[in-house]
Amino acid sequence: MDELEFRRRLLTDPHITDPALQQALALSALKTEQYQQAQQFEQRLSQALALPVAPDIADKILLRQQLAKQQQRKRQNRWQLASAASIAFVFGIGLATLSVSPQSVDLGQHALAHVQHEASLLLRPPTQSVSLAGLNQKLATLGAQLNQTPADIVYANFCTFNGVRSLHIVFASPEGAITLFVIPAQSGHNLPQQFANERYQGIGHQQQHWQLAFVGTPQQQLRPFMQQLSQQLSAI
Amino acid sequence: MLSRLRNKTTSTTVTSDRMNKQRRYEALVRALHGDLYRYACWLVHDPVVAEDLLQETFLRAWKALDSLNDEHAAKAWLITILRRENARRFERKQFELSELDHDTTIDAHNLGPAQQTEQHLLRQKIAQLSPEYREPLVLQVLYGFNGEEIAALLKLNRNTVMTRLFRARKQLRDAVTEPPKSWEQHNG
Repeated sequence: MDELEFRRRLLTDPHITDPALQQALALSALKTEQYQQAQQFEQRLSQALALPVAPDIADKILLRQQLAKQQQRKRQNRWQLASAASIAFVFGIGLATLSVSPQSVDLGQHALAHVQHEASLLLRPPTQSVSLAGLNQKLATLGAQLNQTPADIVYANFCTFNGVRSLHIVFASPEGAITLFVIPAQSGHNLPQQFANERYQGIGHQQQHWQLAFVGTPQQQLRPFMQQLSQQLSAI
Repeated sequence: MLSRLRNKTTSTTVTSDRMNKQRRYEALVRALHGDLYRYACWLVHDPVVAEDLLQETFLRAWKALDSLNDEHAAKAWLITILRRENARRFERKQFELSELDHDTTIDAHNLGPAQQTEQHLLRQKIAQLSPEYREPLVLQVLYGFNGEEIAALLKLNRNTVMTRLFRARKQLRDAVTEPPKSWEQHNG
């Protein structure tokens, strides 16, 4: 180990000892002295760098952390409360909106249920118990009139059709009783072109501002009857 | 009933996790605050600012404690946070920086008068070193980091670190050892 390397070693990292250094020290009394001086200087250096530390500083750090934690928890609680409140608010609004305006009600299923509920009407004798004039009087309140009836009218009366005042008519067609609902068209109320359950079938038809729902048994041909009727139906 | 029981166990786990974290943190503070404070002092030259810096550092360490996986890396981790905080302090209040008195960190110690003077002198000389020489020296002597570790911490080349360590020691030794005999020749 040459002089330069030895000096460099003592000034960069005097703590490291390796065989090369040991050998250099063993060979030279001067180097040993320089090495010892370097070690002494190192000790003085580490003493000088070790500034006194106030004994309470760790407690101060922990205190500050505890305060910060408390504040954070408080903030978190506030945030939790706020989010709970806003979720409740949104839920409330959503519920209100849902109950006020039912979205896209299926009138077809409603018509089927209605017919099923009043099945006794279909068993009435197929004789004309309501005149065309009588029917037109009722249709007039919906702004419609029927010029000619394609079959005898067994029953005609108002009913509430899912909250909408509608006319419930039963015709005695040659194929059997056919029920017709004349429903004023309304947005959100959706009448499918065809609907059925295990006992009845039905077809829907939109004409001007009415929705017409024809309901009969699965064996009946409803479409020809609907065409005949819709030709005769007109606005006042 | 079952879900209530389950809830209870989760909440106790959460609490014990929190307590664990708190315990880890307290151990970290108690074990490492001394050297970190000294490091801060040598970095900023003002015990009051150093204490502020230390507080900020440990507060940040608390928030990020979950990211410390290896407890052995804690020293280097804290130093990195402290250096970042210090840089932030410079950005924040550069206008407040004035010519700091380099003597502010130097206090008397429980040493004999002669030793005290000597230490006083050495501290003064350390404080007067340029920061890029002082920082590696503090990391080496105070923390016992080797060249590679210091290089990684300061984001420097290892050779640069070794050169700076060399120059720092040389300047200090030249400053505190007796003036060379050659001065007589100059006088003569």
